[in-house]
Amino acid sequence: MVPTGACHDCGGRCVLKVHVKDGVAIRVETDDTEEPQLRACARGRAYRKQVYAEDRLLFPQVRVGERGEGRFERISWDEALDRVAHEISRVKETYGPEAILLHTYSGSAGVFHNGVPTLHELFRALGGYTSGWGGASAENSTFASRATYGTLTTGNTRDDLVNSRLVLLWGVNPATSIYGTNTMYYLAKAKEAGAKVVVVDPRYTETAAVVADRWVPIRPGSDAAVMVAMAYVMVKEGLHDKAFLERHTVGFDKFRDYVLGAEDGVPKTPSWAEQMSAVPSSTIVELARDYASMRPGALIPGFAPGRTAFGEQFHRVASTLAAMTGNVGVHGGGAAGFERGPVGPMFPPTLAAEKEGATYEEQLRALDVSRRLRRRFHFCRMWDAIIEGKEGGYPSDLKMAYIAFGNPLNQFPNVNKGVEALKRLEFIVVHEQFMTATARFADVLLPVTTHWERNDFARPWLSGPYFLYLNKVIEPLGEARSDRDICRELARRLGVVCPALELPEEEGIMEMIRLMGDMLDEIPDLEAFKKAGLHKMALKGPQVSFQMQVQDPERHRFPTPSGKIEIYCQRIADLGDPRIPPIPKYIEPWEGPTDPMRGRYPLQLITIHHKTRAHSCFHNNPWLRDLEPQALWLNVQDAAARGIKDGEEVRVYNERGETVVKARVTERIMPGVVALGEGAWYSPDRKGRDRAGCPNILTKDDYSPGGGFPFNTGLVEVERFTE
Amino acid sequence: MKKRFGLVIDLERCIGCHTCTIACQLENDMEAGFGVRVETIGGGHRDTPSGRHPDLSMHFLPILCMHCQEPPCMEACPVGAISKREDGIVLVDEGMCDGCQACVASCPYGALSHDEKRNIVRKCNLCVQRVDKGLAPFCVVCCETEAICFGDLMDVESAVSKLKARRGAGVLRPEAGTGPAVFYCPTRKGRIQ
Repeated sequence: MVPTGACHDCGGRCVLKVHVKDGVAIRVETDDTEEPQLRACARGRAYRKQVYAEDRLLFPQVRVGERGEGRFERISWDEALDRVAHEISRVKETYGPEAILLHTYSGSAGVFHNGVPTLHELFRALGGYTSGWGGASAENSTFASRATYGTLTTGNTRDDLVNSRLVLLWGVNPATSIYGTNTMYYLAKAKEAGAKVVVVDPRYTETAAVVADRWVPIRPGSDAAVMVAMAYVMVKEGLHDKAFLERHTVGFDKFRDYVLGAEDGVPKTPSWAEQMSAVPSSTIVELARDYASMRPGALIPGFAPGRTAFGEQFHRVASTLAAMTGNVGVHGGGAAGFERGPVGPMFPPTLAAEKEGATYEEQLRALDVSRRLRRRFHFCRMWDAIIEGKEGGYPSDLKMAYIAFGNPLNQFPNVNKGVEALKRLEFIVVHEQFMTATARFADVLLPVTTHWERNDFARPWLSGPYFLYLNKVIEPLGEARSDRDICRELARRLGVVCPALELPEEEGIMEMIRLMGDMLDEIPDLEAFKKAGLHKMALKGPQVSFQMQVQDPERHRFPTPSGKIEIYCQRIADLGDPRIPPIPKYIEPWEGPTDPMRGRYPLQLITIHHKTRAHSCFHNNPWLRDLEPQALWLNVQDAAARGIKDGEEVRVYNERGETVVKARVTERIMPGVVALGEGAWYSPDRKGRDRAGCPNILTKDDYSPGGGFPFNTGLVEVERFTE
Repeated sequence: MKKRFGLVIDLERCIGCHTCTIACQLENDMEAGFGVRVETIGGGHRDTPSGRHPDLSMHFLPILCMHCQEPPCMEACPVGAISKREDGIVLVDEGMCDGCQACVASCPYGALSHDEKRNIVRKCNLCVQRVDKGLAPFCVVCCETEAICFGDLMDVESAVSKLKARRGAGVLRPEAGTGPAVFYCPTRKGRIQ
């Protein structure tokens, strides 16, 4: 029995115990230690089917057909690596290292087997590369949380939910999107303890169905408007916690002026918000009264409403409401920031240094905007960066792409533009386990190992309180190699020295853990950790962020320049970007309620997470596929107006592209909104038309001023499909 | 005292994640979900609610062999391949089963399915291989929200009996009169179906 974990592109990190017989993984069990256990979901369980999948890539291949056609021939590792090394040298010598686009993401990444200590290490040693910035999941939340609180560590441990009288789940569906293993378990516990649970979401999600006392359907992109109107109700009725605001925040007066209309002559009343949100004003009033009076209350802002144009405003106003209701820093409450827990998070809780030798004060001021000041493009604009290069104002003219730990053609917006862009490059290398959309565009395709074929460790994305050591379970299948081994081979061929790549795997892992001071403090005996696979932190009950700041503000400052919660953020004002106001506001998104595009494309598209995939991972897993087939969610009224029946094939389209998929006619989505599960593998037919229902055919390749990917902002039309 | 093993499933906790289905496939080497499937309480088919937008209702319902007191499948089987143990666990002898599927039609719960590849009927065996080692069935230990509780229904002090009594758990289709050993805690809307 080998203790390891599930560690694909998911916000949960669960325990897997794999039984091995004659070198083959035969059984998978999960955490059976003391309660609460870290139990795996269906995806973690189905991982065996993933490792031993019939369609695993098991030997290096070289393209023989047209690029993107998917025709490859097997070659030896020596041939493949020689070819890749030759192309890297050629591109570097001909155009300079900046012509190399290095793209690594989080697809099959652990902490050690990850793009940063492998490929980035190699290409740094080679003289540099061009890359992008922007987290597809939560960049707007990251921005807002840093602005308002100065940190991403704003959450409480999930077990604290049992102390809440009200749980307000806003655009978050933990029944399928596991951001924090056990979230659903504690929600069930909270409900059993008597909490009122409200779900605000355009869809009647599994979470809404099972735990919610009330479901509030809301139009995508209007969340900030409803929250601003909630603030209006609180101010008008005097429900806000004036003492808390006085002690712990800056800039509430400016926000109040905006809310009441003193700033722009528009009072942000519930009926004002009803127009764009379709949430009845009476419901907005109730939400405001409930949240202000049922204390402590946990407002949990999902990342989904933030994945919209101007979605950073949703996150900024959510935190403002948490402060207005005095729910920051108390048990059962919540700061409604990024939600990373106070102990054992994915990254050690330090601010990234802006520059060598930056003072703490300078770091605080940075607002993490350094990333956009460096020569990088935003990942939403990767295709334009390739197509337009320097002429379009991008950092460099890109000639070659090196892609690992990700499937950007499928998972970044505007697939059709991506196809065009990838066709223009001189050379593409892809590391993959499967023939994904991106892999099909490779010139050299290198097979890589899964988590079970290598050692690694995991820090939960949300926070622990636990750490996992992911023990290697089986020898690599076929000729698969780890990304790190490939990098080491390339470094040798290219004549560069990367000491970090030369360390034996387990030594490298232990070295990395040692460098993470907080983990070493917690785990003195690394050998025992490896053997057990799991280290749970011993905590005295639920942990709450900002407890000290709230209890003793004289001695404990919020990590912002003012030392307080910044409803008015001077650092945002200093950015001088007219699209990001220094106080939170509702800003109408592009392709929003008054966009003329609505005439042709009247339906709002959201791209949702399926319970059977972790982004594009697991799409091809036969055990999971049938449990939730890909389909376009379409309300009964919208279907009737178009003569569409449940289960029929429909064409979903806008000016960016079209995809053909079955319709799921359902009352579970509000009228005027359609939903497609993200992660379905782009599969063009002979006419170049996607037949898989990949939503990024339709999404816009632009980014919100806060840096977020606006996957949930976009207009489409739907019609019955005929060949 | 004679034991009777059974399950109590809390419908307020089932989130429809299908982990039990996958776990069962892993434990019992089943390529398809022969053991436990998750249905929906609500509309006509899976993942569909009842009601009209926005007044909807939906819950999830794991269905598996009910390990009945009087199993109609056992009576229906012409070759005697289905038996009931002392502890109430109903088993299909895969060696004896000739794939005639008479049992499939007899079950009020649709808990038996035909494995076409092997031409036998398969169903939940309550993980008898685990139960005999003193372990709970695999779906029970795998459920993310701990919605499934296993134990001896004859023992009033067991966790299952207590949960059953506290939450007023009932059986599906009581009118079938087969005496299921699988009980469901009703949802707050009072529905089991």
